Amino acid sequence: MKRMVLRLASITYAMKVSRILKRNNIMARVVKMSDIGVNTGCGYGIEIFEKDLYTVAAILRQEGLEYSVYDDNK
Amino acid sequence: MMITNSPIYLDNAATSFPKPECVISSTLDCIRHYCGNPGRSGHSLSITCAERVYECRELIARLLSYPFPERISFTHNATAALNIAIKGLVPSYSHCIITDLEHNSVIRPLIKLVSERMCRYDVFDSSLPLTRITELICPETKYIISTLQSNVTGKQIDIKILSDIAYSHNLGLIIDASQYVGHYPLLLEGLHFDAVCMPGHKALFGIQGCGALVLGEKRCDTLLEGGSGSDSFNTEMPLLPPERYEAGTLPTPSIVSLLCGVQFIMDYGIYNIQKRIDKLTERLKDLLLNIPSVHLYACENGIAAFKINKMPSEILAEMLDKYGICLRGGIHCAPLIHKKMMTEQEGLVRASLSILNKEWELDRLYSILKSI
Repeated sequence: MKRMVLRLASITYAMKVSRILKRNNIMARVVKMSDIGVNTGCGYGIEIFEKDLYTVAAILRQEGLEYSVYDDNK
Repeated sequence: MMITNSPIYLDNAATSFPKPECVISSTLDCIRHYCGNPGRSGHSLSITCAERVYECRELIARLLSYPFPERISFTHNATAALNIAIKGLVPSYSHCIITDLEHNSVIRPLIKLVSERMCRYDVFDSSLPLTRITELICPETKYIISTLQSNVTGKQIDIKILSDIAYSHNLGLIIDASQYVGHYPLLLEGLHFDAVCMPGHKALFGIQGCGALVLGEKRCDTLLEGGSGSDSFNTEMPLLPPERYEAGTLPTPSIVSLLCGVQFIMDYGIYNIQKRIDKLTERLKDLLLNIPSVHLYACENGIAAFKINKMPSEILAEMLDKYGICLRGGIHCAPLIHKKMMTEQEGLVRASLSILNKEWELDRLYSILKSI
């Protein structure tokens, strides 16, 4: 299943988001951006399934959290 | 010289001892099995540590009824948190109000602002009704900076009253919760404040090396700049908490210990803790009042300050140490309250309690003091 990564402001926000998503039964894994080949000068994101993107985006909007989307082509 | 193998520790206002066994074992477990650097790498040890750190933020937020764990930054101690808050929030040329209960961790950063940023301050007499603090407000007043509990007398300040006054007068509020948090309920939701500062190693039962800065909505200027684990090409510190105030490597074992310590007190129940501390304080007060040679200056909320006749406090503390009783003599880094009580020459001996103290320990203190 195709996955995507949402970059968050820091590890703290990645942790916060992963917990929110897990409470909503959405699979989320905290990843380091450089580990998935994204060279943005260090950073953390959450890896989700592409099918969950719109639901996740809605949740993040509701929480007032900014993010940027990376497609890791898995 | 009589030295007992198991000291009677009555210096919990300085740091709590002993720590609960779960705190010790969780700290050792971290150091032995997974102590990577949280928020720096992507490997399992780093992520595991980052999870523990975030859990600690969440648990402290829950303890304080504060819905924003991401606004809780870890510092090395309460003093570091207070320095960030005071130096990062108080503008130049402004006026602040403090109380006569303040510790040097408030006074000294403020004095630095007086000399370098043309700030000035007034000291509120804590024996007056707290609402009279408004009499010190002037057009230049920007902040009230207050402890919630004196580390010498145990006297408490009502944060709700301070919050309401600060809000109604459009003032900022910086709180030193060092002696209060972990012993008494501190519920921040709905309160108007800019910063609440606390140590991890007192009533929260963490090991030394960790404190917390709980921020309100305002962004604070940074005191320390360095690596934050993200956005490395940006030469400035992140704009958002908590990483904005956490330059460099976090004290991960201390934070893990704090996580366990906070869980311990939440399992015990903060209202049960309050009852326990109040019960022990009452017993201590009764015992000390029954010794004619003891001059008891204050005894409330887990802290008793006293002296014996004209004996210098450091001498009395040293004498008690020989009997295996650990307390602190001197001025306790709180010069204003000692000047107010006129005890700045010989100081006072302070006994400070934790929920792990036992009644027989207080009885032992009583019997030793009676024999002196």
